[in-house]
Amino acid sequence: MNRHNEDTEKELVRALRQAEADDNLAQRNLLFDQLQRLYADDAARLAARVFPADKQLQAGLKLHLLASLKSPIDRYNYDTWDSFARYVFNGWKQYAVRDYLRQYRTSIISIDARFSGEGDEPTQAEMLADSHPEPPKADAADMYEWLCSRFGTNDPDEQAALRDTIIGEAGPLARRLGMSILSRHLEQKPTLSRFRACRLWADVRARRKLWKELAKSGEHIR
Amino acid sequence: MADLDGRIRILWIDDCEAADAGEYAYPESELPPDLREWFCVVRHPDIPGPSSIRTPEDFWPLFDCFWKRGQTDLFPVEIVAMDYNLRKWRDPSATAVRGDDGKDDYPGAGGGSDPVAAKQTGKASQPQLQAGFEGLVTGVFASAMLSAHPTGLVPMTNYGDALIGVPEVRALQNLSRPLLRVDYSDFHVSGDGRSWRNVLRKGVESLRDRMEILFVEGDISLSLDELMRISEGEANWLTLRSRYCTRRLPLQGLFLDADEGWREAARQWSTDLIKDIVKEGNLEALVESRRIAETLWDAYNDDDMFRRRCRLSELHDMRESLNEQQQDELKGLYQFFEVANPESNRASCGRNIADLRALGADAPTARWACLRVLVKLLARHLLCRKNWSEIMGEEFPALNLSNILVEDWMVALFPVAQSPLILPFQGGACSDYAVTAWGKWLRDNLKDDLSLNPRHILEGFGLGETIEGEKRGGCGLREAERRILREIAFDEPDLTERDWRESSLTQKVLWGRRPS
Repeated sequence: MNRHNEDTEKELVRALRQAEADDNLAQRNLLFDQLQRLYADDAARLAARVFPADKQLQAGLKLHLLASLKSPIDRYNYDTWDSFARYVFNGWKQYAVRDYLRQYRTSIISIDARFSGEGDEPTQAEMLADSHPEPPKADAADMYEWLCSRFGTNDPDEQAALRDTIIGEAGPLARRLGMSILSRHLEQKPTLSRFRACRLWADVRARRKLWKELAKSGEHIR
Repeated sequence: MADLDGRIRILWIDDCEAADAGEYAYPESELPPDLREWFCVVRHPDIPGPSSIRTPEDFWPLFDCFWKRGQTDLFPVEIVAMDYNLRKWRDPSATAVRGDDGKDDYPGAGGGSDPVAAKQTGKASQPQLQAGFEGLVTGVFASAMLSAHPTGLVPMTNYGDALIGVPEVRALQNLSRPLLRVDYSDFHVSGDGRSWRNVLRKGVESLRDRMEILFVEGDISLSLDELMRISEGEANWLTLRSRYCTRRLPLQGLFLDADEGWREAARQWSTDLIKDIVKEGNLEALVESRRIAETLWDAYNDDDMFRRRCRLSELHDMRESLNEQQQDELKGLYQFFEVANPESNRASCGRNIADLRALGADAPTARWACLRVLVKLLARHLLCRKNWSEIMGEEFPALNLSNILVEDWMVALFPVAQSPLILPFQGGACSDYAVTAWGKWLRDNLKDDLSLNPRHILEGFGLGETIEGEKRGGCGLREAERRILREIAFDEPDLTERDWRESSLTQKVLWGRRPS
């Protein structure tokens, strides 16, 4: 973290604590968001240092670091990002690798429940995880294909129009249909839940790779 | 960034104390109830009194949250109402009026002197006035800092124009008058005429002046859709977008000074404003094109109608080889679209159509309708990408949509086409759009006489050039048209000006291709 960021961070944390003391929720949330953005920059910088050659792992580590922050105040209790990363990494090591799927499925369910407000009910993510024991393949085209098959529509023409629209191979008339389906789904809450489930499932895949790599290369965080 | 509180904000710079009321506390210590609906005074959290700022030291703690942290709940303001002397209750010497002998002619009793009294008694005819003018400095400074947002600055002082003799005051007034369009000639908002109604009547006049300048110069955006509705006497609000935030201003407040009635004044003002940016263009066409574009866009979004029309095209194309069931389906579609003579080369649909050609628009109206539809298409594209990345996060692959193509645009202009029965792009075929029946119609009907060039297929209009943000051989948009198109685009819900600016696709259409 550079000098400028440290100053900004100190000021934000001070104001945040004050807002919490004043019970000023609106101000506290605003400052919280600003701090999160600051940390997102720092986490990205640290991730780039740990995995300089692999963008996907960088993104995964960044996600992990930020996800480990229950509150920005957590991070502030550590002197530097490196010491915070050590703390996070040691936390990760407490989990056995064989348990990773269970861990993350739990987190998927809790995150999705928080989004959807469905409480303890089985979530879309959980059902999705059950019906797809293996995550989709890594490349983007496969991911789109899989995603299109997860939309609510059973109409193969609609699915094809959507897929061809997304990958840029639809003709003008099919593209009109694909865009219509896509925009409608992206605006509707039930679909958002499905989208989020897909994304979180994709995160599991990314995290599995990250997990393995960290086992090998996480040493230089310490 | 949007603050849609819906009231015009006032920064009130005045050292008045509650106890001043009736003496110096001009205007009233509270806005009258009927004005509170349209105006609000920005409150300083650390000041108990009625004004926003009592000393220059009060300014930064209030302004800082906006300036450094981007909070827009208090700033930017639209009216700055400023008293000049902010020390009359703290520093008696600040209001001393000195006679030729250097002695105070009107020492304040236990507080400052009364320069108004000085004028009234005639003793102030020649004196050297030592009154402070920190309020003027603060007001001009605040307005200058906010120069990218329209602000009406209202001087209100009991000194009248007595301070004009002070070189610094004269300098400040001369410096700020051209930029901020302040009227320093009329101080009737103070003294006997002191009242919020008088202050705000001057304030909104100055505010509108600034809005006009910033809008015409392209520094702020005003909702074109709302301006048009205001010009038709229909709207009650005007949405303003500056680089800082989006604000929604009540017309009854913005035209508080209109003796002929706010609606009529607003109608005239908005009409003039639209004419200012439409310039040589056709205002009626721009207004009418909204209805045409909405009709086309609604039809484009009607999946059922769109599919039926595609199905008609598909089955008609295969009519020689249909089974019995398909033949019945085709017959039903002929009836639904009222196709009188399907075997004729010029067969067309007689009803349930949505087709630019069939809406009776003249060329300028049709041209603007085309551009409005393009904006709708771009907005859909942009919103899909935005929602996708918000929902899926940065880690997921970005949405790989192809760019908007001319073919997409044409499908949206002829969503349930009258003719030909077999649609131009059926089966994924991307024939040259210009040689389609639709392309020919556009070519023949949407010529722009100002830039007619026979070498180009779609003379003057240039669908491809418009999408690519180019100007070739007279085709493509003129800058004035782009300006209007930007205002139309900024009216699209759920998208910010920043969204439009950050997409290379929309950049090209709305701002033109940057020279490489």
